Amino acid sequence: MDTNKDEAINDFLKGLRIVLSNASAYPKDHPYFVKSVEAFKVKVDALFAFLNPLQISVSPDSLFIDGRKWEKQLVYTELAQNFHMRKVKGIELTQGIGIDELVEFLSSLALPVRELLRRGGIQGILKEVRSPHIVMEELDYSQFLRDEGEETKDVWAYLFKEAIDKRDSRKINEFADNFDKIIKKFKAKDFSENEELRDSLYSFLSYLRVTNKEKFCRCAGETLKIFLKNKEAIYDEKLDKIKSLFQDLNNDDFAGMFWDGLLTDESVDNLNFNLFFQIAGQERSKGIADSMAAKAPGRDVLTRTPRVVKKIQELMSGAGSNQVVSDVYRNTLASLFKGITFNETLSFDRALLYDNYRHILLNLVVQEKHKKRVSVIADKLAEAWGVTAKENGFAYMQSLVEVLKERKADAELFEGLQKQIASFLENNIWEKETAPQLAALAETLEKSSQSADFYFNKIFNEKKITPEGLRLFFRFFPQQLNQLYSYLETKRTDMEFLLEMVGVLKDAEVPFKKELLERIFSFSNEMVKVEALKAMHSLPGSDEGFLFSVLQGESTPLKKEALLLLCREKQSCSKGVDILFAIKSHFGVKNKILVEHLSIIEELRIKDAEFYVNALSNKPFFWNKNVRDKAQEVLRNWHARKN
Amino acid sequence: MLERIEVFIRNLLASLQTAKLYATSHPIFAKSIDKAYESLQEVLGEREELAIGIVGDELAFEKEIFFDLSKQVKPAIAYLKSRGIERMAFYLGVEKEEFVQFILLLAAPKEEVTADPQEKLSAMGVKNITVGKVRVSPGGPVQEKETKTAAGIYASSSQHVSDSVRGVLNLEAVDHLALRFSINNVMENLTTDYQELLKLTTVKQHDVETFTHLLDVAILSMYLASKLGFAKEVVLDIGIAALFHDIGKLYISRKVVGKTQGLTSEEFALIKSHTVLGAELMLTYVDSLGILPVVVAFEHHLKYDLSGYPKMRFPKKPHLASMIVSICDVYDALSERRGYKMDYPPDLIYKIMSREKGTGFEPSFVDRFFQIMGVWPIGSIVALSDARVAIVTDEHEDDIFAPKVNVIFPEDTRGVIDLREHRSALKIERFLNPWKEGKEFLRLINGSELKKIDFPK
Repeated sequence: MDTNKDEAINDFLKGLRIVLSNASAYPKDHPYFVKSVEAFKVKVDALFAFLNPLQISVSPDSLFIDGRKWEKQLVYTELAQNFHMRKVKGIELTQGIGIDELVEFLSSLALPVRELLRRGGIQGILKEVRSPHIVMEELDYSQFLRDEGEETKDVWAYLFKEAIDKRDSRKINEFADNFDKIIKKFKAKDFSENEELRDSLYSFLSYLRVTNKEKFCRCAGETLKIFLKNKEAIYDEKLDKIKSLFQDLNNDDFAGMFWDGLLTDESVDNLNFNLFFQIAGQERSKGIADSMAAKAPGRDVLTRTPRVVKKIQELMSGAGSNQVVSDVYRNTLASLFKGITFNETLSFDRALLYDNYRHILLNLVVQEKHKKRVSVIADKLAEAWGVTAKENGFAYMQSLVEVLKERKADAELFEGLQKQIASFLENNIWEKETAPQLAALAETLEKSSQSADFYFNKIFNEKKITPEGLRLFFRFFPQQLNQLYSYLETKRTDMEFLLEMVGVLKDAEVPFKKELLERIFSFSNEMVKVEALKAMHSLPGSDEGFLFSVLQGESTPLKKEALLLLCREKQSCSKGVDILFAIKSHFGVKNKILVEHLSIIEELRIKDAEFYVNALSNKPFFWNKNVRDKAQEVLRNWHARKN
Repeated sequence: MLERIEVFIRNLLASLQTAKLYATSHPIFAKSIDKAYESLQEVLGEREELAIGIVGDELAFEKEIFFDLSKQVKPAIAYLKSRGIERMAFYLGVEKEEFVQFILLLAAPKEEVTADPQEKLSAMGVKNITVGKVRVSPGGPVQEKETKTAAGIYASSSQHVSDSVRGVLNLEAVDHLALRFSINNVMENLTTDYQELLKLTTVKQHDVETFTHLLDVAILSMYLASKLGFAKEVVLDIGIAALFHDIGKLYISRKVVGKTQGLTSEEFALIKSHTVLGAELMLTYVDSLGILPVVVAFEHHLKYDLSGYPKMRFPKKPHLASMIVSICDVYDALSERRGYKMDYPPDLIYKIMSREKGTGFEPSFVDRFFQIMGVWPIGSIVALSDARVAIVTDEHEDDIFAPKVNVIFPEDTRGVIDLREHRSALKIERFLNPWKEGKEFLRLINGSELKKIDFPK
């Protein structure tokens, strides 16, 4: 009995995963989706025989049903992650649930996180429709403090909004108390690009400003620090929107943050300060500058570290930025530093010393011929690598790689160092925003420090897919292609993963790109297949055999994409058109297919098909009426466009 | 590693304290021994030997001096020194029982330990721990008397520098603790008796063989660094780096270095290569002396505008420490009598070096250097505008041309004059070279410490 129950739960969960995939691919009234919901309802009803109500508790990576944890299998973990990201803590379904309820429930759950939260979360949506057999429990915000990643940002945007909309003072205060942890998850561009987020945050800060000045200053300050770290240019129209977030900060607040950033944050540079001053606004510059002067730390503090002095000098000169800080601020800073000369600012900088040391090692190794001495330098370079890696000193890394290339004859002396470099690069190319310099360095690698399993783990378990990662894998482990295919197939139901993979393949030059795309095409659902075909546009030629087989299939969207690909070459295009219209008996369902094909060539404007369209437009028989009408319509439209 | 060593030292001293308070059978003693022994094992898990020294009033390990820790455990350091222990070495394989014996020896009342601590330790069967004094000269322990005066320190340091430099030239291990001890001595003297030490660097004849140039540059560099407000450990590091700045040159044929006539292009290229050679040589001492000697040896002929040598494919502005050593090196070289050049009076040196502003040196750095050193350095014998002869005794940072002087001739007019206060009426007219026209006045210099060194005969 228990085994049957477990099987029923397992069936239910698998069915749920499939139906959610369909829900994300089709609109909720699409017959294919409705059909899959019907199939799923059979599994739900079967489970009600064992569990009624059916209660599912959600943790970030597992589900809890009937006193047991459902975990460690892809289907369970993916469902759990999916629910967690959508703020679902628990679901309860009771017998009697209908198709309509399930359709609403599943299509809501499949919405992109941002959209779902924008609409008030799953509970908000279900409230609008009748769903007496579904009870949802939502996660408390504090669960999300631990989470990382892009999607949690969307959750936070919603959580802010929700708390403000409801004027939930308890939650707002809790947010304020944990604000530093929350805000660190964002970058400046999130605020400039996401209006909802900006509005939510603005409402949040405005509420605090009225209710708790101290918390307001702290939270606004933390937010402004995000902008102080921003390295990207923010254009005027976006800047105006961002400025609104801080309009209620007073001059002292700005001045305090300026000194704080200058004295404590090493990464802040001139670009950041320029943005900071822009946010503060020209109209307030006098007041802020006065406050800066009043709040300035003592001269000894200002001159104690050369970094601070250098930053001030740069700020006054405009170095490192295409804008010079306004005269008001410059004059204030100049007056603070009046009389402070180089003498007072001399300081022994150990970081700089180590940097010089590393460069000396490079300068020594390029000219040294004596093998024993080269060996000593090589050892020291290897010892110094840790600092280089920690600092992400790309320019230095490039120089080092360049030197090692020149010293190929002494490769055995540099083996340890080469291994360290390889390990560093192979471990650091998996982030979406991999620095271009790092990617370029990775291209120079000749030997891997890892095994193929390392790459499989990164790609399939950690779900890190980057062009650099794939390129390195194929460079070092081309013989493991079949193993890669096997892993890929285990992801056949993971649409998110497959779309990610296809997206990466689309935009990057990767070996075996065609093979990978065709492989993904072979086992995935229609949505992924369409994306795979679109990605093939980045391939230099067309695989006629493969594309012809798609044309011979049943899916109109796929045929459209395949024909589009073929029509990049005239000859292939003609052959493709022949396949679409070489239907011998124009009866019944074949007429329907012909109409679809006519729609395709109309949409794609494939003039190579004109011969067939003309022929079909003249079909005399009444059972070809639809085809004839469509063909005539196509011709009319073409001529209209031509004229 | 350093953190672990610091933890061990703390635990060791805590055990010593416990041993003085509790019987060996007491669980608190056992616990503290366990803790200390465990932390020692952690250190020895990564190295074969751990030698801790007491340099001056500081605890030291290899090139590191634990300034903060030393401040906190000052009484314990004094206690160890009073027992004649300036160096403790623990070797891999040390048994817990040996460690207990060692602690008991340290904790025993002074009157009970009459023999040499090392002998006593050996007699107790302790083989993997040794104790003793920090050596500062090959001959034996520190000579208290000798180190009391500036001249004594100079002589003792000079000797030790010679030993260390010879050690490096022969690619032998350097007793870095002892070297640091020596330089630390100089440094401490700089704060209390800097005029005397600077006199020694100003008024003597240089000789490559005795490496006095290296020591002089080290002293000047440390003086400059301390006046720039650097922390004690930084000043010490700079002093040691300065000692080895020209080590590469000593690799080059003495014939070339000491040559009186013009150099051939090959000889000149060879001389220039000394920065690279020196840096490579010091690379093998990074573990004990740190990276600063490498950097300074490589960069000390690099100029502010990145001209100079060696030529670098990956250029970098010289580090401030190299700039300090470089300016002191140039200053000392211009001051000294060498085979290939005449002596330059200090005012000419000032002019020569000022011309290098913006090319050879960072402009304001030259200004700062002369604010500290003065145009007329301490120890210079000078003729005043009223025809009297004086020796410079102190500088004014706000008036580099008008130092304090001590009139030595005519003898009946002896006395200190602050030239800044007599700006319009009295000034220095010219420098009297102690090997030439100033020679006759040397006998009139009070204190006579200068006589102990290599004055012109």
